[in-house]
Amino acid sequence: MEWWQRCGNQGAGDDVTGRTIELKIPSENGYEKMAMQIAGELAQMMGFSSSRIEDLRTAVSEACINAMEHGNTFDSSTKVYVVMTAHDDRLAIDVVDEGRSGPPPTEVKAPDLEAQFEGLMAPGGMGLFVIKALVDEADFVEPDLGVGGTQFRMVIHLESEAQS
Amino acid sequence: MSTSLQVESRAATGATVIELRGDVSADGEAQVKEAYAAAAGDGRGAVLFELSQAAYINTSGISVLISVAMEAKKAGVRMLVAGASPHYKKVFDLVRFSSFVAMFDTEADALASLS
Repeated sequence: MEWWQRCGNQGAGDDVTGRTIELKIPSENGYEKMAMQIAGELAQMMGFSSSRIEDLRTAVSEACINAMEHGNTFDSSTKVYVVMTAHDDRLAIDVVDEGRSGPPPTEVKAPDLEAQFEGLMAPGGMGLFVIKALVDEADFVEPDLGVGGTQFRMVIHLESEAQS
Repeated sequence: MSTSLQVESRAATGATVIELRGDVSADGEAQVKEAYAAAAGDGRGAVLFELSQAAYINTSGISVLISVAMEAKKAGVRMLVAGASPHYKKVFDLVRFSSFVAMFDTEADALASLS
């Protein structure tokens, strides 16, 4: 059985009412825009505001790039799996790599731009921090899609949309 | 997959304006750095990155801009950024890039700050 047949509606939690879109993109810079655009379209269909959609698009893009870079070491033979599930009250997006590198970070620190500007560390390390700031939930989760790599889940809630 | 970035430089009063159109990402690093190096050498003393046509900016692209800002600081060249959308301004604020590089709503505002 292929991974997309196994995953069904599991990717975004246990709600079987979700409508799921699945993508498999190459681990090459630029393809993250495919996932970003589809996530944006789906969020628009669900009624999220344009500012929340912009936030989600950036979060999805960054998660895909992290999976390409850290999970798949930009090996062009590997893929990044993106599973988007639209529930009545939330949109959940799982991004899964093939696990070519070690375990994911256990904590997310704010980027140290002072050190970067002083040349004490290379510019970068901003992606996870930005994602966590832009969506309601963002965490590495136990893989449940059968792909075998590291699985990162992001969720935005329509409830918080009403509050924003 | 190649991403699309167009870089165009032009002289303005007090600065060289480098307009970035399309995707600001790691793939555009060489183009951005090449444009900066040419601008930094033209003697105007300030380089303004104009982003109003930058449809997509990711954190790898921000890292490229940070690298350029470091070079500018070392060289005593003033670096400014203008035209970023409200969303990307928010991202610049999140990572505190805007604490290190002067940000303006428009190119005109940025150039006016130099006079």
